[in-house]
Amino acid sequence: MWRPVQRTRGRRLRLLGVAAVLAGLWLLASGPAAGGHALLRGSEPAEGASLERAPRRIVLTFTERPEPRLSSIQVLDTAGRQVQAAKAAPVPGEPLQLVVPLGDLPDGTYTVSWRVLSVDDGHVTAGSFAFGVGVAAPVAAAATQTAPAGEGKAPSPLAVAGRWMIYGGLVLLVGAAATGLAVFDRTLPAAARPLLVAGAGLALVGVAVRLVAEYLAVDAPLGDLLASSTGKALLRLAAGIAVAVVAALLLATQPKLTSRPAGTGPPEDAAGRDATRQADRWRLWLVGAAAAGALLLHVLAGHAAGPSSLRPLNLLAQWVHVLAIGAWIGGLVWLLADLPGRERSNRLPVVVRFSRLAAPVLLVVVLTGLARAVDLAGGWRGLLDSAYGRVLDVKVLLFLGLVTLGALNRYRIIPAATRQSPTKPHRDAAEAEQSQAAADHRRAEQLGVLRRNVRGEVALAACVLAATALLSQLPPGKFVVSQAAARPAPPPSVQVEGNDYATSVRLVLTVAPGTAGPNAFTAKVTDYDTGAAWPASRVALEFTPSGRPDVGAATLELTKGDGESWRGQGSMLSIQGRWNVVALVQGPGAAVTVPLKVQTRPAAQQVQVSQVPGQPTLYTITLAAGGTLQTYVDPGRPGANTVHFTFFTPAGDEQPMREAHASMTTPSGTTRALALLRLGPGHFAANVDLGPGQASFEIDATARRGGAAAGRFEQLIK
Amino acid sequence: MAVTTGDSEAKEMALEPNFEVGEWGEPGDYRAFFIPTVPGAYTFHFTGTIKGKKIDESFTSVKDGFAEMEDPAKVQYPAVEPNGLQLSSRLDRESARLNAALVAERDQARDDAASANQRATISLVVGAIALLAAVGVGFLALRKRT
Repeated sequence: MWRPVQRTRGRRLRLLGVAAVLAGLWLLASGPAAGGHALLRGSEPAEGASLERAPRRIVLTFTERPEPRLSSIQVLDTAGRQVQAAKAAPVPGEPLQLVVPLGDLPDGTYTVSWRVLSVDDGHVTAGSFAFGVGVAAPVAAAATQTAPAGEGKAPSPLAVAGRWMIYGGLVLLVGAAATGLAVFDRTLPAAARPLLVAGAGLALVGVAVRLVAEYLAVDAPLGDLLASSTGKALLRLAAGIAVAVVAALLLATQPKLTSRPAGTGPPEDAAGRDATRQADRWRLWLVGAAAAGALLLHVLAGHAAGPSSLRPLNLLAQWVHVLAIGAWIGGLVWLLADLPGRERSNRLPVVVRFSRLAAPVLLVVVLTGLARAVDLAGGWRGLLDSAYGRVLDVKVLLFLGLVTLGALNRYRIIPAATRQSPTKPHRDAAEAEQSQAAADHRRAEQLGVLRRNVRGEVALAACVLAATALLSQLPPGKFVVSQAAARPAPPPSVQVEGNDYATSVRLVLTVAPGTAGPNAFTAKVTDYDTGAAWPASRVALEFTPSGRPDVGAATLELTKGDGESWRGQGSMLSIQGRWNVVALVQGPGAAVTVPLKVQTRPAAQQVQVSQVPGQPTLYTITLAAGGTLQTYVDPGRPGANTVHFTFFTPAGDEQPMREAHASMTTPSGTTRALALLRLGPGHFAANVDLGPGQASFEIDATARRGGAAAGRFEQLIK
Repeated sequence: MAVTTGDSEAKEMALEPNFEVGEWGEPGDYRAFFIPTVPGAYTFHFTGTIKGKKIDESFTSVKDGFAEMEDPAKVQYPAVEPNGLQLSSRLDRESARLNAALVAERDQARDDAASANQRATISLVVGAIALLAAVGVGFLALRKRT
């Protein structure tokens, strides 16, 4: 009668197993996008910055606390020489920052190369970025951030294995204490001794493997590692695990620890208890407390210990989470050990007690897990975009499989096993005995099904622990999301696109940094329709400033680069403003021309804002050529306004200007020229009608003695 | 004299004297006329003999040398007018795009028709099987009743 049911259960188990294997393969195949935890959040100077003066120091801010002893920052010049004045050091009061002092740097391009060990999880990350002093920041030197060479981008398998063993071992010990006290009434299963030894051994080997993995990752002498806070945390964890091992051995060596084989010795009570073979209560408590202590030390060296205003709550939630997992998953293993062979029907009370214990424990697992996921996952984006989020998704799926099996046991198998046969009068003793035998047989069969389900649960639980070990090796989603959001913008540039009249050639011109002055020009020439590289033999650019017929045209011959790229450098965009650029592309057959319009970006400027109640907001802009430009919008409210521009020399006198051109960009994005009125030698004004929103104003002027000056400011009109 | 630009085939022209000794012009002033239709660098190749001396010289417009041909669009106002070559190139391009779009449309229509045909055939077969089954069931039911 029950065979079809058994086959269905078996099929479900197989399906679950397949799902677990597939999930594991997906984990391996998807691979983590980032390889470390202490990711670079920001820096001073910023990536790609172009500085007028050399900085005195470089400050790097990471997403997790860097270990100063085992971290290094190198600042290299273009010849590859180190120019930092001293080693990287922590910033007092800023645990996420490292600072490296610099000497007097000449103008040039510098590369900052960093390699950091995270205090919070012991993972190593490395990367580099560049900045310029007195020169434009290098365009092509985009920041990189990877795991160090040789280590690969994936987490170290050794470290993951070490953590998995630690989890497995400690979970077994916590499960021993929890089930020993609350489920088995201190009468442990026959396989208790091997299980205790296995748990202790797993944890001990796990911490040793972690230490080796850390040593291989940091690439530093063992003494340095052990003297670092990461090494000390590992040593504390090893000590905690050693105490748990001693406690487990104390319990394992207790005489008459386990239940007797069936049919031997004095009779047992209805729950299968034998008072002469109960474990000492204090030994069980000691194992539980020692394992819980070791888990706390493990939690203290993980993500939950990272800087946060909710750090105590995070630690508590994480600790309770792993303890609850220990009681549940570890308990499952002990329950499986208590359901051996054919004599199962008398274990039914134990199963019922475990089922009652598992329900609240599961609730605690869910609540604390949710709290930790909300803290670490980084929202939907973190769950979907980060490797951490993807592994967490798989862990949740595996967990749901566990819960499904648990629910099946709780609401189908156990009620079926405990259900009493309908009482009806038996004709004789033989019939009563036959009826009792049939009921026992049915219970034994249901417990057999339960055992298979529990075996499946244990297999899934092992996968959950593996996912947890992998999670601890990945940067939490919130760091990945915040790091991506805080990642400095790519080096600034201006990009325009155009085509010839015949629509045979498409040309994309990138000008970096795109400000007036020296620029790097990159033209990508492709077929208009297919996008394939156009077989150009020559590309030349001709520059003419828009609205300045007095300035002659300048040309630039580009040289062939990679693929469809043509490159060149020059100061053709010598004036701030709009330029007409004609690209001449010589290809197969006749040459074609591609007209383009390039608007230069305003150069970075220092603006001081002065606000006095009742007065317009005053903007004082420090000009690149020296001197200042003072501007304001009067009255600065929607309606009729007058915008004023006044140039001053470095000495503070009004700077006489020969001419000036100004423009305004309205909140809707429309740019129009302003009709300037000259109110003084260096003072210009324009009447404008402004609507509410952010308006920006630009002016470029030429001094009477030559020299250009340009400035830009924005004001919120409200 | 031969003139060439890019990969275009060279155009050969005869240089004509632009003078009459003792009458007008400057002796030595030889000219040929052509209208450049594309911008860019041009190469002028002079061959021949002058007073028995062989001439074989080439001159190419280069940066900082003699100016290369510029796109007349730069000085056209108010509307920029494409030249014949640009127009024909544009027409060639647009024709190719139009043909490609027509071919794609035709292929799509053919695929749709084939797909509809396939569906109709399957429907007919299924309908026929259903009809046969219905007839069979009806026949069996009648036999059973009788």
